[in-house]
Amino acid sequence: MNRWIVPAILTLIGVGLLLTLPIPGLNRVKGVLREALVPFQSAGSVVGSRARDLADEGLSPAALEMRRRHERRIADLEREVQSLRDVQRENERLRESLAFTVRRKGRTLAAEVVGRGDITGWWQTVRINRGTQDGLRANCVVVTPMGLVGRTLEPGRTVCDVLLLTDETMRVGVHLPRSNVNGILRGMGCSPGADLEMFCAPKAPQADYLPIEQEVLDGDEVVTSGLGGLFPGGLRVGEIRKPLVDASGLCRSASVISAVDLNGLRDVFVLLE
Amino acid sequence: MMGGQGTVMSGLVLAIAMTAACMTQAALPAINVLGGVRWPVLTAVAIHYALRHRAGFAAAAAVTAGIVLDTLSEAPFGLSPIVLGGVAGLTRVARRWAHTESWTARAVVGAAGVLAATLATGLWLARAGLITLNGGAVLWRAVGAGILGALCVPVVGMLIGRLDGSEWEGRRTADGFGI
Repeated sequence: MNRWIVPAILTLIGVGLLLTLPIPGLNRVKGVLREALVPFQSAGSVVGSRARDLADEGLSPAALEMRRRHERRIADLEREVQSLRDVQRENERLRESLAFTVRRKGRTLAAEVVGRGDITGWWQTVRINRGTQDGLRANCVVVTPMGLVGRTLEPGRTVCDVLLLTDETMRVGVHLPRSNVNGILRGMGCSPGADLEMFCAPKAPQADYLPIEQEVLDGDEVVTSGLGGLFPGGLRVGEIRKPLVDASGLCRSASVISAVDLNGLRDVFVLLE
Repeated sequence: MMGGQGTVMSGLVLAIAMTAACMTQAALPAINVLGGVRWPVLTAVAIHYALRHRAGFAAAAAVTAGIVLDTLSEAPFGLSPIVLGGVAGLTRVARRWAHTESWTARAVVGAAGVLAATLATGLWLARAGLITLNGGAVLWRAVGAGILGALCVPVVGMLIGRLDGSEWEGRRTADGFGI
């Protein structure tokens, strides 16, 4: 027996006591620790993504800054185009059915991505710099001007993790306006069989349960259906790729190329209402 | 390192190692061909301490690494400290047979430790419904993590050894086990 046995036993007792806390208490402890550790994770993420940027394109920091400005400008323009498309679609619907759809005008919260990827690799997440102090709660919808990103998980006081569309546990009710069919989108993660890329590029999500009677084509636009209650209808998700009849022969499945570059996320919006 | 000052210094080195490991693990990309697994730097620190340091530091390293992992992921708080504590315990048993001066032995112990930790965590998460991977995918990811563990543990050990002065002599033996 040596003098280290006592601290080791005390440590184990401490952990044991910690684990007997009720779930809300544990989440609070986790939240406090997360606030303290996020700067280190963010620093690591920033260094990693900068290194990848440089390795990808061999650009100087000034050129990278210029590229970022261009990306922001492109994002603004895409938002305008998207907004025009929304108006056009709305007009078509009005003309066709004489029904009026009130577009959602809820409160949104701008947020910056401060950490990329779950540190353990089990989940597809990003971390944003908003939390309960900004009015955030779990299961808020996260978007960019280009489309749907995912949903928030249990937030901390100043940060919150966002579960991305590509996560294997993600399910979203989707609608294909051209063929007027509904389906369910599910994330495919980075499971074996994904593209043989050395660095993790998550597989495209997949739209399942698309009715076999309706034609589904490459390039069909995919939006949220609003069914299920969590995601409001009409949010752009992406485009159909490689529709196939699924193994059961009863419906179609297709890959969905996300409208948002989930690997390059920097700024997002959280829909609070 | 003996005495209070040595203990403080070792504690400081552990804190620095944990911080650096956290940043490194966040910075290094996931490896898709290995099932999307990330470099297990924090687990490697825990295994290194179990291999080369006293029981108190080994326990502290396992618990701290576990808490950091759970804090920065969606895993239930407390899962990783238990898993890494178990792996650290098994590693301390393994070091009775492993010639821990050998890089080969450290790589083998590192691979086995990281594989066991990933497998245990993955199966628990899958059973709890927190991930939707099947058993085969979890196993593939665990094997991938084991391969990365074989690379991480010797390197992490060498770096920590340089920090705390207990640098390994780096003697490479043909067989790392059973002196």
